Amino acid sequence: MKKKTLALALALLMLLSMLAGCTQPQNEGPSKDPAPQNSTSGGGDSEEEITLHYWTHVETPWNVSNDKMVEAFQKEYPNIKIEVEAYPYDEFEQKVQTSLLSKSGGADIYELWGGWAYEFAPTGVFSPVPDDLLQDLLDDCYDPVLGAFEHEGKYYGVPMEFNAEYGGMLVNKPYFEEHNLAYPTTWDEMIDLATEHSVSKNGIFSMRGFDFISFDSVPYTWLAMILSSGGSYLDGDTFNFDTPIAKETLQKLVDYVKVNKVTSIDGLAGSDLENHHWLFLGETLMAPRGMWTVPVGEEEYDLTYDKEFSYVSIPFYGSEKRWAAETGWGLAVNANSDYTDAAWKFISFFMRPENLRQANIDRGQIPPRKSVAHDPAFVEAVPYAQPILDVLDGASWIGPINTDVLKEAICNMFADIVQNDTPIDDAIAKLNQDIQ
Amino acid sequence: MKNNRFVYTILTPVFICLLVFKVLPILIGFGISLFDYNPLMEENTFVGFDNFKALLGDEVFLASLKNTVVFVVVTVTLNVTFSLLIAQFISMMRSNKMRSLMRAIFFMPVVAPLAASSMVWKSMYANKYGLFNNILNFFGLPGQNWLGDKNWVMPAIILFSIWADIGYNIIIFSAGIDGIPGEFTEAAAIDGAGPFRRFFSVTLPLLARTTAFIIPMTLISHFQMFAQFEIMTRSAGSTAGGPNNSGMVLTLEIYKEAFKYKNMGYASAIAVVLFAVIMIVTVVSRRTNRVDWEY
Repeated sequence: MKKKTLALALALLMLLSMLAGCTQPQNEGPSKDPAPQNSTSGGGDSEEEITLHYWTHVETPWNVSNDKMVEAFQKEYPNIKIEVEAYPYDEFEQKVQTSLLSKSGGADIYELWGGWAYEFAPTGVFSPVPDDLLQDLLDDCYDPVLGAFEHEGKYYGVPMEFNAEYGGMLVNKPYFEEHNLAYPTTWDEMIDLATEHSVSKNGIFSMRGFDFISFDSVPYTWLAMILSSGGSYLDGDTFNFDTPIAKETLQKLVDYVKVNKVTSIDGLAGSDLENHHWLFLGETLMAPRGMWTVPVGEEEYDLTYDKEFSYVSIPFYGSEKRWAAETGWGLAVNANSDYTDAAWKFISFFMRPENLRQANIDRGQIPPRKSVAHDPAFVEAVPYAQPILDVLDGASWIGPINTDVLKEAICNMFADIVQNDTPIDDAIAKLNQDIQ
Repeated sequence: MKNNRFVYTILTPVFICLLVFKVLPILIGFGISLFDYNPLMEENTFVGFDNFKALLGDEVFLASLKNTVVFVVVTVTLNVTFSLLIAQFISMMRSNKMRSLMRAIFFMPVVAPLAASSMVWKSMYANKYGLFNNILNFFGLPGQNWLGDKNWVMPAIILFSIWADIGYNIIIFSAGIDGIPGEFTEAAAIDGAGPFRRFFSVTLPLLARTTAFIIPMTLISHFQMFAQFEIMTRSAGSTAGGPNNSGMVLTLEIYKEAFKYKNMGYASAIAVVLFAVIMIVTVVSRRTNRVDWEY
């Protein structure tokens, strides 16, 4: 009898805990503080205390910069408290997506990658950028930084950076000095140099002359080759790589791997390290990468910039300095937030040129605003930005697509050609089909 | 009657749990597979069986289906064969301590989280500085791009999966072998049967109940394997799947379609196919291995 009573009690306990688990907590939505609200869009103008939740990803320089920004904002708006919540990058996209799906939980302010923003923008999960801020940004920002936030004439996020994966390259400075070499100024010089100094045995490289093999570098190098040659891969809003220039440049890239042997395909097939890591390990001579890799070399590898590695301009393949860029990291406001006005107030504060400049300096990013990019104070603080700043005007938005899909399709195609000798025509036909 | 009430009370929470967390998601998953479903959209279009029709022309899905079947057939066959042989080998040891030690050694990889051991093995497969290539180089042989060459990806993952999972079946087979009354093998020995004959004619048939449990369970778990494919076929900064989708399996394809491309209707259709495949294989396996005797 005792046993039965105990079992019965346990069963009831299980049932109750299950029901409790299935019940949604009442205060799960963004910023549902007990404080009374004056308006549905909560501007934070009155003296009411409100709390905004700001989601970002874990990256030390970013987190320090965010803390500084929040502290400065709260001095100006003492009644608006901002709680920054940082999540590991690997789970950040899922976290953002899941919270937006639930429509009731999540943050008031999201840090957002442009590639995700492109898919979220049409769904109505984000609040549109207020007109005054939008006009300011349209007047002062480069085109690529806004592209993915736009949907049917409205913008659903603002850019924190200009994501440039082309325009500059990391170089192995000690190797150049040791061999008395000058940094290349033309494309042909660069390939000759890379070919001459690449060393491999049985396909295993001890020195990659020009390592353009990574998930970002292959697509951006190819697109820049097409654009700088006067070509295009866009017919209006449709991607089309079935052009003579696209085929010619693709063949060149394949030859660099198979004939010139300046690098291996490992970066797309099997390797756990991206191309900039091999350079920091001293096993690569040149690697086209975004400027964000410079702090990686300094912090993760404890290398000294301009001594153990450097960042210089990459020569263009064609005669024009044209290249493609995607919309990088930005900020967006949850349309379901109770405090959208207050959230936009924080973002407007963030986007003020002097605040944005400091954030870009702290994070090692290229500024999305022209006024900040050309501000001497920025150039002085981030000298390695110069190679990219020099070519910013030649950048165009990559186009209307989830860039992860495009990059994956291009990388798969490239690996397929290199590993399986797939004819260029067939590979491009498949690429066009994959991205439609 | 009083007893019945007690049984119902005890079982109700369990059945509710099963219903809510097992049956309902399967039904909802099937329902979603009939829609062009993106949870971010206000409206999702009903497309009937279009998602299933699209699967037939999807090269990546067909490659994943083929890879899944190859992986399951090869890995389960090798797993069951080797675990049985190793269990028999262990049971032949005279020292109890030695038997326990061997079981513990083989069981250790099962205890380690699959994701963690996948990371370790990935570094062992690395082109440069990887253990396997270092061994090959030591003997003057060229290294291989184990996880970057489409011909090596699946063998590399199969080898890892066998290492990671074989310990569980060894323990079950060992228990089965230990449970066979000694009189049978002793009688066979008196009749002149050697060790091989005793194994194939006595031990193996009497292990039929254990085998009938192990085969479907191993099949089900291998159809659902995900972590090693996600981790070992992912190149730096890239998405998983391996060169030419040589490491793409159905579970990985479901994850990619659902969470990367947000095609949740399509992903659900693939999940329904996987569910059907597992169901069919399990039923066939159970019927084939049916045992209606006891000792």
